[in-house]
Amino acid sequence: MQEFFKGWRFKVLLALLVFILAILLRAAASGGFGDILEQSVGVVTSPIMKLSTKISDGATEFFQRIVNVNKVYEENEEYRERINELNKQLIDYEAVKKENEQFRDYLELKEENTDYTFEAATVIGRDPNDRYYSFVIDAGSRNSIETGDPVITADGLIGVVYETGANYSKVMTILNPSLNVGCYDIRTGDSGILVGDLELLEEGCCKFQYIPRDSGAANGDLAVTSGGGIFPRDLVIGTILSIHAERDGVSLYAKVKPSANITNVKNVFIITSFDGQWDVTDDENLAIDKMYLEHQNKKKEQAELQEQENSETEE
Amino acid sequence: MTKATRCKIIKFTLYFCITLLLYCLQTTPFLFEISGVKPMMAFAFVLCIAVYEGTLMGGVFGFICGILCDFSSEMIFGANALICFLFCVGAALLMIYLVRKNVWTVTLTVTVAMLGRAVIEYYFKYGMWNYEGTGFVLWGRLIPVAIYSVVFVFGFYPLVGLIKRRLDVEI
Repeated sequence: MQEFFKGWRFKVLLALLVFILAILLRAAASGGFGDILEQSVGVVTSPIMKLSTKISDGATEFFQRIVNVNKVYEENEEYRERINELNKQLIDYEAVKKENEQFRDYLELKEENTDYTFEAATVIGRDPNDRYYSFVIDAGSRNSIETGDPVITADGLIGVVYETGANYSKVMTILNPSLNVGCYDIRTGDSGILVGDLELLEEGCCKFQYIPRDSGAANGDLAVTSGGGIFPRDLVIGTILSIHAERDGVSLYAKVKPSANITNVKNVFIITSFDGQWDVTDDENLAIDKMYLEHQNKKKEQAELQEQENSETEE
Repeated sequence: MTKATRCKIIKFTLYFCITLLLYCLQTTPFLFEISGVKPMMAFAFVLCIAVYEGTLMGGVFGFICGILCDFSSEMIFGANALICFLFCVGAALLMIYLVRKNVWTVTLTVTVAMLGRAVIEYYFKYGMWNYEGTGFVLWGRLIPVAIYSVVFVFGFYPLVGLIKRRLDVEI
């Protein structure tokens, strides 16, 4: 050990120790920094440390990606569930929105017609082969709906219920030739019967027939229900597009474009009761019925005459 | 220049480069970090150099390592240099005069040096200022760092031995 203290190595180390102490004292005196030695160390080590940090960050990122795969998968599943939940909420929102619109229409109708008793329903089915756009709704006898109840929207008349089940009903539209609706021109007061017509069906229109020849009905007039029977009075049916003379020459007929969008209707109201329901004693309706019967009789007579002529020519 | 001198230069350059590399690695954020504890690999390495190379080179590399540590330390510049220098010279003297050199004695020496350094750092940075609750810093940070650093001795001790064997040429 004594050899070490006597040797030159010890002296060098002692010198180094003094040098370190000098650095220490200088650093302490000058606030700890600013020494040339420290600056030199910084110049040498900083670029290497920077490179090392870059490499380390790259490697860490790479390994973290591998380690975090499960976490990312779990997060992905979580987000997927959340998206499904949000989609469900969106569907609910759309349903509520539609319902809201429906109830708004309902409120308007209710305010306009205080005597009406309504039942709201949604179209749940359509027969793709039915040319007259009849449909099924999700309300039935359980909702006090009966056969013959008028079906409307806020825009106007749609048709009538022709069959009811406990929780469903079938609706025949005014485009169907089987349905006759007593109606009149709101401007002139000329009444007639609105029926479906195969020729006009292509244009989504129906036929307002038995308009008197001297009628002043014109294009753009509004056709509404005449009331009595199964339909309440003044339900909007549609607008007259054109006036034509009947083939028999006795009366006129008008092409009417229904106000309600019958082909794409989704939500409807059923009038389950109203003032004057089934009241067929109304003079106007009786007159129409009379006119209708006369017309039918005339047709029968014409048909019989033609048959007779045919049989004679054959003989 | 003789072959022996050239080998010595290569050897010490290699030591220097490894020390510098280890210093950079130990200061790289998040690298080798376990629960917020990072090892002092450069100090463990220079201690291994000291036990192989003796007092002079041990002291020189202790000084170099200390200066490097001072660059990134909060302690006054030169404090780490002094501590590392003294511990490296002490470890070299211990191996020369008192203890037989093998992996276990070197590990024990490095452990003592690391813990000694931790205690000194704790005393001068926290203990002597009578701050409250500073015991956690010693037990929760400084001693774990010392223990974690000792683990690397099992790699550094054979590495330094290998370099020395390969590059020491008998004259």
